[in-house]
Amino acid sequence: MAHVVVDPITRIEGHLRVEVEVNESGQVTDAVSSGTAWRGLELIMKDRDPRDAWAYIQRICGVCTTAHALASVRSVEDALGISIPKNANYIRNIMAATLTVQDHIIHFYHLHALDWVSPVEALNADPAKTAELQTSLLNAYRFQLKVPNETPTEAYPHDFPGATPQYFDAIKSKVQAIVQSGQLGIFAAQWWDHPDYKLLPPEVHLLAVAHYLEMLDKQREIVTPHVIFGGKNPHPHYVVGGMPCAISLNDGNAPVNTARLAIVDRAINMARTLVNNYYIPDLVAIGNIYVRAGRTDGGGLAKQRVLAFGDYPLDGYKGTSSGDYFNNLLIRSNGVVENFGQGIAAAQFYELNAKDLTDDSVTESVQHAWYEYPDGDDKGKHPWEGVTSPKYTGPKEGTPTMWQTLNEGGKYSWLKTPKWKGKLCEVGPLSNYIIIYTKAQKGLLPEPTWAEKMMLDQIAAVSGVLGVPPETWLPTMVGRTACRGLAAQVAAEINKFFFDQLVANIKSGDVTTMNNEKWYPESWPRECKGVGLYEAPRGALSHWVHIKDEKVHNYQCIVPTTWNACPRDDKAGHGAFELAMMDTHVAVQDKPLEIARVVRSFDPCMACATHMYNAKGEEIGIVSTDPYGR
Amino acid sequence: MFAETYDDAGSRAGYCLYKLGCRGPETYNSCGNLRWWQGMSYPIQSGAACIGCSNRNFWDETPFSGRLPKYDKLGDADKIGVGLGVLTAAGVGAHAVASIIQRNQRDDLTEEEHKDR
Repeated sequence: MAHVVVDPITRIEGHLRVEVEVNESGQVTDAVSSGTAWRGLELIMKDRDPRDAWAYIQRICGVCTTAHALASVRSVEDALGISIPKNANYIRNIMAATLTVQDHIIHFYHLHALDWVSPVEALNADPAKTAELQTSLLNAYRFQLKVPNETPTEAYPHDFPGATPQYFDAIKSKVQAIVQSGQLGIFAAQWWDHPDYKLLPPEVHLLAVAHYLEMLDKQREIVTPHVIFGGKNPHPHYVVGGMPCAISLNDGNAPVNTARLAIVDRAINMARTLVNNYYIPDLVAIGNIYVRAGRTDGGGLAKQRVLAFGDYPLDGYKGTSSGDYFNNLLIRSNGVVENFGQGIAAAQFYELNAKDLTDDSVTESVQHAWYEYPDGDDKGKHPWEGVTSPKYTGPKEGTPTMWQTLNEGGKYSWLKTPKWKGKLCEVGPLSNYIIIYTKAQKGLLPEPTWAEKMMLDQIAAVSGVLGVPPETWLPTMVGRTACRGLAAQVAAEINKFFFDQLVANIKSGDVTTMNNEKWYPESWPRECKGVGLYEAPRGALSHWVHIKDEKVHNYQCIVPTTWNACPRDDKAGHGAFELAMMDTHVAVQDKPLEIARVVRSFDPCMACATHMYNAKGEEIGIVSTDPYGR
Repeated sequence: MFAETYDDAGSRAGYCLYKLGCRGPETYNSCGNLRWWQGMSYPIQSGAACIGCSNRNFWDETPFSGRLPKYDKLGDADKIGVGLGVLTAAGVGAHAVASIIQRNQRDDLTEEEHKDR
C-alpha cells in the first residue's frame, strides 16, 4: 500500500492538494481532496452597496472573471426585482459563452493536454506522416454542426490547421531545441516515462504539441468581446440593471457602434473555426484511442448524481427565485440525474426550479471543512443563512504550515460541502450532457431548442466514432474531457446566435442597454434576498445575496469546484474528485499520472473554490503556485 | 458633456462618466493612455465608470456609483458652474475633454491635478 501526495495538482493556480492510498494492484482505496487556501471574500462583502458587489466578488479569480460578476449582478437583480433589457441579456450571454469557449480551449491544450500527450514522444514523429494524419483527422472528425439560420459575416473559415510536412518539421525542431536545452520550461514536471504516453502514435503527440503552441497565441484573440463590452479582461465591467456599454450607431465615440461590433464578430467567427477545425478533431482522435484501449474509468460520482442549473436566457426574464429564469432557457439542463451509470433505464431525472432554490434543497455543511457553525458542523445551511467562520485544525501529521498527511477523519479542507437534498453532486459540462441526454431519452424534451438538439447530435456523433453507447463513454474521465470540448463547440455557436440577435434588435431600433428604474436605493425594499445562477465553464455557479437597509447583509457563493472538490460528508459520502480518484486505476504507484489526469479532467479552478489561508490566522501568507510541485 | 445616467444620450455619445461615480480624474494608471488589448478599449471607453482599481484603498472608497455628493474628493460637478473650487473645475472639465479625445495631453492634466492635491 502506497500513500501518494500530489500538491499542488493544478497547472494554472495552486491551492489544491490530493492524497491517495494505492494498493499493489493499482486500486485507489481512499482519496482526499483538499482546498489548501482560505478565500474569505464573502466576509468582505458585508455592508457593501449591492450595486458594487460584482466588482468585489469577480476578483475571486483572474481567469473566469466574468463568471462571478455575471452571477453577482443576476443575484442582486433578482433580490431587487430588476429585469434587464434585451440587448443587455444578449451582450451578457455573448460574454458568458465567450468565456466558456476560451476557458475550454485553454484547459484542453494548456492545462490538460500534457496528461495525454508528450513533447518527448513528439520527437519520434515523422513530419510528413503527421501532415497526412492532420488531413485524415479533418476528414473524419469535423462535426459539421452549427446554429441554424445564421447571418454570414465572413466569406471563408479563416482559421485552419497547417497540414504540411514543413509546418510540422518546424514545430518538431522547436520542441527538439527545448528538450536538448535541458530546460523544459512549460513542459517540465511531468512523468514523461509513464507507459500511458506510448498509447498514442508519435504523430498524434507532435500534432497536439503543435496546436498547444498555436493556441497560446490564438486564445488571446477569443476574449476581445469582453474588452469591447466590458472595457477589459480580466475583470470586465458590469452594472446592476443591464450593461454599461451604451449603443449608438451614429457616434464614433459610442462605447458600442458598428466598428466595435465588427471586432466582436471577428472574435466569434474565429472561435467557431478554432473549435471546429482544431479542438474537436484533436479531442476525438485522442479520446478514441483511449476508449478503444478500454480506458473508461474515472467516472465516479458522475455515475451516481449530476446537477446543473441550465443557462442562456433567450430574452429578459423577471427574477430567478420567482422561477421565470427557467422559463425561456436555451439549454434546459436545470435538474439532477441519478444513477446514469446503471444505464438509461435506471437513470432518474429530477427537475430543479425556483422551489428548490428557496426551500432547503441546496445547502452547505462544514463537517470536514475548516469552519464552524454555531448549531453543529454537520447541519446543512441554506446559503442565504450561510456562515463563514474559520476554524483551522491543522493536519494529522506534520506542522500547521508543513503538512505530511491530512486528517481525513476530521477537518481537512477550506472548501465547504454543498449538497442537493442532502446528497453530493458532480457539476460541469459532463453533467449538462448527461442531463440533456437523459431528458431526451425519457421523452422530457419533446421540442428541443437548437442548442439542445446540437448537444444530442454531438453525443450521437461521438458514440458513432467510439463504437460504444453514451452510457459507457459519458461517465468517464475521457467523457468529462470530451464534454468540455463539445460544450465549447455549442458555446461558440451560442455566441453567433446571440450576436445575430443583438444586431437584429439594434437594426429594429432598440438600442437600450440599461434599466434605470431601481438604480437608486430609495426604490429598494428594506429587506430582500436574491440568487444569481450561471452555468459556468466548470459547472453550476450560484451567488446568494441578502440585502438589508440598502447594504449587503450576507453574501455566499457556491462555485462549481466546491461542488466537485468538496471534502467528504459522514452521511452523504465522498465528493466528485474523491470518488473519481477512487474509480481510477493507477498503473505505476509512484507516478500517479492517472490521478492527476482524472482530477484535471474537472478543470479544477482552485482560486474560486479555495480560501487563502494562514496557519495562525495572523497574516496572509503567500501561497506558492510552483508548477513543479516541489 | 456629462452622462447623467447609464444609457442616456450622453452615455451613447461617449461623454464624461464623472457623475456616475467615475474615478478616472484621480486614478493614476495607464488605462487611458495605453488602454487594454493593444489599445482596443478600457472601461471608460466601454461606457463603464472607472472604479480606480489600482488606487490605494479603492475598495473602501465606496459606493463606486456614489460621487456626487456622497463621494466628494474633487468636489461636486453639479456646482462647478457656480464657481465652487476653480482648480477642481479645471481638472474635471479638462478631464471630460481628455476622456473623449483620448490624447496624450491627459498626462499633463493629471500631473497638474496631482500638484493641486
